[in-house]
This record gives sequence, structure tokens and C-alpha cells, in this order.
Amino acid sequence: MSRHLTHRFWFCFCFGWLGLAFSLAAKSLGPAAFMSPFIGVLAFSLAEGWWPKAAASSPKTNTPRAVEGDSLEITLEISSSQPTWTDLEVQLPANLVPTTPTRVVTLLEGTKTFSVKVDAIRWGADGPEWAILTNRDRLGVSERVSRYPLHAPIRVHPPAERLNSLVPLYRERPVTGEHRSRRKGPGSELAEVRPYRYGDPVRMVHPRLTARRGAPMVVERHPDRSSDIVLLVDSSQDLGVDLDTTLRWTVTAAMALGERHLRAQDRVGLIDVGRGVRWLPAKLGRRHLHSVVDALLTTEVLSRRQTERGYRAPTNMPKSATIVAISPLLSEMTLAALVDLRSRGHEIIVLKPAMPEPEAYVSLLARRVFRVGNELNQRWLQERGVLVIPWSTGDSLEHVMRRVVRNLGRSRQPV
Amino acid sequence: MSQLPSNVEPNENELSTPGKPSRFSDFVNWWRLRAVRLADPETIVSTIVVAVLGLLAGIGGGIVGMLIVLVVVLAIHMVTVESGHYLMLWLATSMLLLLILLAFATIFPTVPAVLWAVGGAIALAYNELVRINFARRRQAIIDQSVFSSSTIGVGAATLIGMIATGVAQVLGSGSDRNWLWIVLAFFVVSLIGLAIAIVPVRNATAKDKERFQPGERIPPQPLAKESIADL
Repeated sequence: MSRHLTHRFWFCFCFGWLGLAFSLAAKSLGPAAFMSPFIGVLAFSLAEGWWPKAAASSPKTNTPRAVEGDSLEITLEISSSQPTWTDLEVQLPANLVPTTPTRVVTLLEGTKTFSVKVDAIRWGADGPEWAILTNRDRLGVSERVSRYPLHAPIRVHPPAERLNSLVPLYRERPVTGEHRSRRKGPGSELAEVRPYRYGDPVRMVHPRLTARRGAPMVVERHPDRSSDIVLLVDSSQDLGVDLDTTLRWTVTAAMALGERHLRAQDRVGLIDVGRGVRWLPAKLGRRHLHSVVDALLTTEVLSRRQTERGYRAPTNMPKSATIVAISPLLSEMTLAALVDLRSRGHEIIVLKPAMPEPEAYVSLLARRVFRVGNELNQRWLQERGVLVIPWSTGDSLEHVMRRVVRNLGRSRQPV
Repeated sequence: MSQLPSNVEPNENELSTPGKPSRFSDFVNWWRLRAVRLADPETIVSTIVVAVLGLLAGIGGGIVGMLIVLVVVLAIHMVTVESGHYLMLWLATSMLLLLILLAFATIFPTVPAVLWAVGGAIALAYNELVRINFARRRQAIIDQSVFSSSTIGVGAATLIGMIATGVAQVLGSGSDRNWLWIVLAFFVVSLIGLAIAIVPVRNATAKDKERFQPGERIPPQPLAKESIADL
């Protein structure tokens, strides 16, 4: 907050002074009378009171959550006990674009409500940032400027993608889920039909098959099991423009995968590797889904100055977890994290979003060096047993996940 | 956000420097924007005031003199409205005071004190109108209450000035105007007292690096990363 006298005070003072001085010099009332309204401004504003106070309340939004492209309304109340010329300006983040003016000038006495309509153009968890109130007395002689930090986060979701495929089971948990276990036991998926052996429970005998074949037959099934999935999000860079950026793809994919696996009774954890590491431990349930989604929406590329803590592996990572990383594989820290997790025995699948084409001014040599470097990173990971699936522009996540299932099915030996 | 360049072709319109029309359509848009700004009610009224006073002030110089004065004063007025700078506003107000002086000197051989006060009030009203126009910058909504409040303020200031002038005229009639010394002394002493009271405040804010500059972007507050445990 700051308060000061405005240009008007000093000019009215100078004009009044000049009028009186000329009156004295000319021994005439005329010049003083000519400038008398300016002296009147000082007298009137002083009588009304300088530096009037006003306050802004915390903002309200018509919805705390929205999807990209939605329109929202942010309402703010301002109040003052004395009449004051109030200039209110609301500062918004880049992902909320105002469709009505964000600044209002009004004579405030009592309480007034001000609303701004905004379009949520990009995903994120930002809200109105500041309300800047400039209060002047009626004639603008004195001024008080105050800033009010506004806390009303609006969570803007990217368009959701519905997934049917699951990341195939690597190490199962002894809890019922949607994954077909490679073991045999009570379940819904047919494993095999075989003759009855000594020791089999009698109720395993299948009556129709037994009647058809003339000998006791047993139907073996695969039990339905759940697993642990950890989503690794690479927020060290965001390449692209507008809505076609790698981080947006990453967040969209992570949200869809998290939602699908939590629906399948899997425990889902989240690692955000950027300039530092954020870790959300693997848990179950709808409440945890909200935590995962909220954490993903707050993902952002932090500047090097904001934090630079290096990679440290999470301490309570489930040993059986499959890691699904979504990364363009450019950050050294992400590569280090993937190799470290692989060395701990985790199965790692990397979905690599396509990067935008460079501009025309980028030289051919620079493009080639960049491409070769990226391919080397990818090959280096593949040599360490990491499955890297490129995700080209235009491919749906479902299509990419089917490729994941196909590739894993080929590499794994049935038990 | 974007570190690597994208495959988006640059728009031809984006290549032109903002504010400098490079093609006919840009040229038309540039003038259309200015026409919208000049169509605000307070701008229209202030332009009419300036034009009328310019014509009245130039009466002594004949038609050519009137036109020259009109062109000059309108140019200063337009530059003031376009620049949005308070120093220009006070330059324009000073110019208006001079125009009123010239008009009075040309039209009235002897001007009564109350008419001088009316002249000053016209200049103050002009100043207030342009101040309201300045407040429209950065797409602000101007509430109707601002106009009525300003009218009350200017009216009250004029009334105070006129009453003071009237009182001074009554007190000073028939004497050698020594009362002006008393008025001046009172004015100086009261303002010095105020200045002493104000200087610490003014200096404090002037040194305040966080003082808000209109239109600047303040860095946002960091959001609480709830539900994420930092390692």
C-alpha cells in the first residue's frame, strides 16, 4: 500500500500561488479570482478528507472447475466508508482471458460488486491474481494505492480422454482388480481345460464338459488382479505453441491413465520431474483421483531460479510398481530418473509425445544435431530395457496404449 | 512457454509494427480506433470547449488569426487526449487559461471578479473532463457515478472560489487591498504546514520500489501445492 499526493495537488497549489502573486503584483483581485477554483479544489478535497480507504473482498467464481474453452464469471466486492473515486483493476493469469473489461472506475460509497467474465483458454490451476485498488478523493488530489492478493484457484481441465486399455500387469498385487493375472485360480477369464487330477477340489469339475467327454474335466481360470502404477510426468520443458504443447499432452495422458487405472482398482502414484521432484504416493480410490488430477493441473515448468534441487528417488515407491513416463526425453534429470528407477527393478514404459517442427530459420545442422541427440537418448534407454513408444501428433491415447499392450505382450513370456 | 520454435506460419498482419499502418485496412482500423476514442462524451465536450475558446481568443486576429489559434489549440488538445500524460493535461489546461485571458481581454474591456472565477472554473472543468478520459485507458468501464461526482466536485470548488472572491471583494472594497497580504500569508502558512505533514509520506512512497505503475504486471503469488508432498 502507498499513499501520496497527485499531480493535481501540486498544479492546483502552483496555480493558486501564481494567482495570488499576480494579484499582489497587479494590486487587483482579478488574477486571484481567476485561480480561485483551483484553490477551491484544495479546500474542498481537504474538507472531504484525504487518502480515503477502500477494501476488496476475496473473489467468488461461479464454478471452481472448468474445461478448456469454458466461460466463467469472477465476482469481487469492494467497500468504502467514505465517498471515494475508486479505480479497481483485476490481474488475471495468462490462461484466463477476460471477455469483459477487468478495470472499473466508480464512485464508491458503501459496497459495490464488480464482475469479470473470462474464458478459460488453457489448462492449469490459476485464478485471479491481484486486485489493485486506487482510491482518490472526489477531485483527485490525494491517492492511496493498495494491492490485494486474491486466492480463488480455478482448476481448468484439458479435454478428458476416455481410455479402455490398461497398462498390462507386470507384478500383481493380491487384490482383485481388472488385470488378468498370468497365474491360475478363481477368476472370470478362461485359462485352460484339463482332465481332473488328484488333489483338485471336486467343485472344480465341470459337469457339462465331463458329460460330453466321458471323463472328469476341470476348467482353469485366470484370477483378476490389480497392480501399482506410477505416472512419471516430465515438466522440465514445454515445447510447442498455443494448445499443442508437450506438457499439455503429458498432463492429458497422465490424467486419462490415472483415471483408468484407479477405476481398475490399481494403486496410482505420481512423480513430477522438473527442476525438482514432486511425489504423490500410490493410493486407491476416487478421492485419490482428485488429488492426482489437482496435482497434475498444478504442473508447470519452473524457472531455474525458482528451484534446482536435482533428482532424488522417492523413498516409499512400491517395489512392484510399473512406471509409465510421459516425456519428450530431452531433460537429463528425467533420463537419470528413468535409469535410476529401472535399476531398482521397475518396469518402465515411456510415451514420447511428438515435438513440434522447428521454425524455418533453424539451420539444417542444428535440426540434425537435435534429432540425433534425441534418438541417442531414446536408444540409451532402450538398451537398459525401457520400452519407448513414440506418440505422434494426431494419434489418440487409446491407439498409443494398444501399441503399448502389443509391444509388452510380445516381450513377456507367459508364466 | 515455447522453447522450440513451432511449425506455425507467422501471420502477415503480425509482421507490421503496432500503431503504424502498413496497409490500407490497417490504416482504416488505426483511424477507426482513434475515432472511437474521440467519440467519448467527455472528449467531445472538452473538444467543443477548446474549439469555442480558441475561436473567441482569436477574434482579435481576424479570420486567419482565429483559424491559426483554432488549429494550434486543437492540436495540443488532441495530443493531450492521445498521449494520456498528466503533464500534457496541465500544459493544455494552462493553454486554456491563456485562451480565456485572451478572450476576456478581447471581448470585455473590464472584467468583474466573478467572471474571472467563472473563467477559472471552465479551465478546471476542462481539466476534469480530460482526467475522466484518461481513466478510460486500459479498457476501463467508467461508472455514471463518476460523472455526477466530478460535477459535484467541480461545482463545489467553483462555489468555494467564488464565495472567497466575493468575500475578498467585499472586504477589500474602499481600502488599498492590504487584505491580500493576510490571505496570502494564511495560504502560505497553511500550505507549508500541510507540506511538512505530507513530505514524510511523499518521500516514503517515492522510495517505495513496489509502488504500482498503471498497467504493470505484478508477479503472481505462488499457489499452494496441496496434496503433493515435496521430497
